[in-house]
Amino acid sequence: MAHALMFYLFAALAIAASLAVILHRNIFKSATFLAGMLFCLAALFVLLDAEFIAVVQVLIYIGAITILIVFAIMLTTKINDEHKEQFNSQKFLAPILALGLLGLILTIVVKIQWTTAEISPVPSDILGLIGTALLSDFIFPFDVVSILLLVALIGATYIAKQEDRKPLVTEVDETGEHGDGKVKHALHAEEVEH
Amino acid sequence: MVPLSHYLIFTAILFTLGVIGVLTRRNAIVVFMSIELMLNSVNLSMVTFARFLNSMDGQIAVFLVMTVAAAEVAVGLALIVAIYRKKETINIDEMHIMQG
Repeated sequence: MAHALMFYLFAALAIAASLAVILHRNIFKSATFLAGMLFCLAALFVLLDAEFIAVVQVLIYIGAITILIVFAIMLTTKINDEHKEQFNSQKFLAPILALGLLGLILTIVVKIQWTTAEISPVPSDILGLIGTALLSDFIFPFDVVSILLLVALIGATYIAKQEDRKPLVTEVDETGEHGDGKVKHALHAEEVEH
Repeated sequence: MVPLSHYLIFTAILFTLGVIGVLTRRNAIVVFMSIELMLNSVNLSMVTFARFLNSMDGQIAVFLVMTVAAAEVAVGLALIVAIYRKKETINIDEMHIMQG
């Protein structure tokens, strides 16, 4: 009973927080509501006996991704952005389409007779089982994800570093133009001589 | 135990909210946050199935999805910051240089 109560409480909180994320005018508050919504989902993971995933959710999503988003907001947002129009021209059509999508998913969810296994208690050594599975059956996706993280690390550094090289490039361009000009002059001079 | 369909209905609602956010907001960072909403709703549905089928594969898939999401956010936010430096805005409606 308490289990069901907790589920409906956190589900309602998560839906309210997601509504706030997509509707709030202030982006920073949107990010804060996103952290709250992620926390509610972590609680739901605990209710589903996935403690490891819940801890990872708090560490990666709330601890890393939300902080990254807040940093990006600090780097890109102006104070008066809040008073600008926040929605694009699709703001009436898009929700209708999205609600159609919701109706489609709900129809499928309600119509299908889900066959579920007898719910057995979770093994106490679930972390060890996850580690073993990651390094045996799932070793290939594990390696691919490792390489992806490395590539993303290098790529993000490279993309964010562009600004530092830009002045250098323009200087080179200018000198290049001057150089071209000189070459042109030289060519002209040669033509005149000829 | 709450029935499986209630979890699925909840994840469907979260996913739809994420879709609405992606389609209607103009700020690129809010679009990012909406994408996170969608990823999280799918994560929850996978953990739900893992629990109701007494299997652990769903949890491992969620672990991998979280890793990919972290990589995606790092690259995406770096892109947004780079675009802001160049165009002084992160309004998606104004990013149309490839429109032809």
